[in-house]
Amino acid sequence: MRAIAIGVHDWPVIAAGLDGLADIYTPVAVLHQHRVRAASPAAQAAGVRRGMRRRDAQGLVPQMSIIDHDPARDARMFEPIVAAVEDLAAGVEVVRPGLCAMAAKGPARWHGGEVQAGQVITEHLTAVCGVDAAVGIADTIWAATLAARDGRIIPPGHTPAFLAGLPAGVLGMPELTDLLIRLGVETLGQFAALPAGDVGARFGVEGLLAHRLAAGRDGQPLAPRTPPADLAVEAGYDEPLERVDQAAFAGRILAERLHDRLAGRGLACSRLLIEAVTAVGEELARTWRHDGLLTTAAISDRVRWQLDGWLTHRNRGGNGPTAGIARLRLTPDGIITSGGIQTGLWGEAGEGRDRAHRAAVRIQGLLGPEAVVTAVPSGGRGPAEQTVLIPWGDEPAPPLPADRPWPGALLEVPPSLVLTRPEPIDVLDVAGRPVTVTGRVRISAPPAAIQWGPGRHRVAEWAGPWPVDENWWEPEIASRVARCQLVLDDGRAILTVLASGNWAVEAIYD
Amino acid sequence: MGTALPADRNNPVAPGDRRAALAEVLRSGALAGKVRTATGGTGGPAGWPVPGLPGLLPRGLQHGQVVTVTGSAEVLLRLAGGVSGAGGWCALVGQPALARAGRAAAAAGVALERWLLVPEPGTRWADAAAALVGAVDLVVIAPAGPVPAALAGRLAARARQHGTVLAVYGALWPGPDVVVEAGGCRWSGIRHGRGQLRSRRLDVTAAIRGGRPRHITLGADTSDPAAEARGGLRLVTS
Repeated sequence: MRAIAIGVHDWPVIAAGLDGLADIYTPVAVLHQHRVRAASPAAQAAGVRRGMRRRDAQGLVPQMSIIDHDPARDARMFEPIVAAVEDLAAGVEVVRPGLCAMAAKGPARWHGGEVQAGQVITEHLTAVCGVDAAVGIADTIWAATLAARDGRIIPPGHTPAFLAGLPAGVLGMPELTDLLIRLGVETLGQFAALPAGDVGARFGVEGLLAHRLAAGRDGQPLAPRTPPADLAVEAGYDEPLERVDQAAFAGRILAERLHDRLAGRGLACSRLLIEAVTAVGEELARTWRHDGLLTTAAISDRVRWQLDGWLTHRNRGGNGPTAGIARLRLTPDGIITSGGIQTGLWGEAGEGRDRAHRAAVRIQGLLGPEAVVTAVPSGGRGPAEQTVLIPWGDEPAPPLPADRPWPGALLEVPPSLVLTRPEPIDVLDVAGRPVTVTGRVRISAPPAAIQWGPGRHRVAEWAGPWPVDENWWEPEIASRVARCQLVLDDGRAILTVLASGNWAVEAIYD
Repeated sequence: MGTALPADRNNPVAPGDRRAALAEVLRSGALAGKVRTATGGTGGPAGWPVPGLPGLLPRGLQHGQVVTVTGSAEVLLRLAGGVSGAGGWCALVGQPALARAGRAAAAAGVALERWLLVPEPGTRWADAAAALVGAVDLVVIAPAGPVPAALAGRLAARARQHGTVLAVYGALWPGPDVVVEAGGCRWSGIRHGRGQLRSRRLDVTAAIRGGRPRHITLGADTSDPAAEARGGLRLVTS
């Protein structure tokens, strides 16, 4: 099936520009985990490349604007672009933020040829959205998206030859391609030449899909012979979803149900139709596609991004919605049989994750989205800052970088209990007088005992005080804090903190 | 694993041979076991290894067992670290102070991305635990008071059925399979205001139902730098 792909190069940068965070005509880089994800043309001209470390990129262009990568922003800003493409073509599918695709047949007939259709669409995008897009045309949607990277048009029948020369890494499946490269298979052509039966037996259905894509075919023949019953899931909301976080949670629950329904029949999907009805009856619909299987997490990400896009562009004119979402429906498409084929090499890890994820979502439904969290290492000097709890399903991004030195942090032994709220105690010297710390970080007398609630404990050993003068350059929020480690006579060790004259237990080395 | 493969990058062969060799490897299944150990996810029939508590549980943590742990949060984390280090998923219900000790958990071998936390379940802790037993490989619960026998029986039965290890922290439990107790902690590294807590010795005892209790002492012997390099663990008696 001939397909047209429309892509915007360096989309994360363009999205940041559209969101008003940066001027894309100056050097700008979008960073993910301290590495360059995308750079503006001016930054690229200075040598900034994808994957480069932050420090190296800033060394090349010291005045460059640095923006954190935000997949939600990428998706949100892409929504109006897809809507503009839809003005000229039907059946547009979002592949990922910054890239969409459609069957070539309809637009080609309407605009007098594939190439002309591509041209009309890019001109329309420049006029309406102010973005420059690239067009790729090939025999399959996947190949068209790769062709769009260089703005190439692959003539009918030449797609396998075009793909054969590309590195295996373009499959976007690191586990599979790492293994292939270790085995000496470095291009899509070499991968496509392996016997399909062996690939399926060893790499599972996902490997089989990748194998078909690499050979320039699409995944359709994997579809089950008898079309399954209605697999769509939907839910209504008495109180329309107005906020993005509400919508994200509702979307996650629905994604869960869809995945369970598919998995129960041994099926998986590679396309997802998201439909919503607003409180005033507007109908919205968008198709997302994914070459590979959509996992629960992948489904819920796409639902979240789409709802974010709709809700954010509400009331901004155009064809966006004007009210909250009252009904939501997810319809799987591109159904393929996933059961009955041997689990892939990394299938067990994925299966474990899916089981854990389902339980986590069930508990979130019971106790609220904030009830299930993961611990994420973060930067900071105190133990309470060094771990942040982030709700399950949210991006585990620490508020402060954990991988830079934090002078004054106690790093030898991490405490195994970090109190939610420090517990006030009295720290006393041998004469029973309160121990204080001077402005020059001298302790008034060695601690000899503590009064902790009703209990009094002798201090067997102690160390400190370690001053932590956080934010001393900003007097309003500066906090003078000093920490001491105390070993009590029963062998327990505690971390105490002195702030504005009051001692408290912050953590226990239990 | 590279050396075992005929088509290793560092050991190039002619392209024709390489393809034939690759097809052979794919067919033979020689690869499957090797890659699976690398990705983990299986405790194996011998149970989960607990390298953080050497010599304490010679057969590891058995699937579906109920283990009670008292006396040290770190010992509990080391048990979870064994399961997590072998690729398993672990979860914690309750104990917000333990949930916030991410660095200690990581130091004990717990992979934080596979460590699900429900720090404040309130009165619904049993519902949360029941949802997690069967979904992950080890669930830590820390009930605040005595657990009704019927509830304990239900959770233990579910754990046995699904092969999930149920670790009960700091509470009594009727008829546990393993009782782990820690105590006699001696810290070193600080003295008269100087230094920083560096290591400790800790006595840990495990009583496995129907077996003789085993006793180990954790902790670095500073006179033996090699022991410190090995992770500061030394087996004293058994």
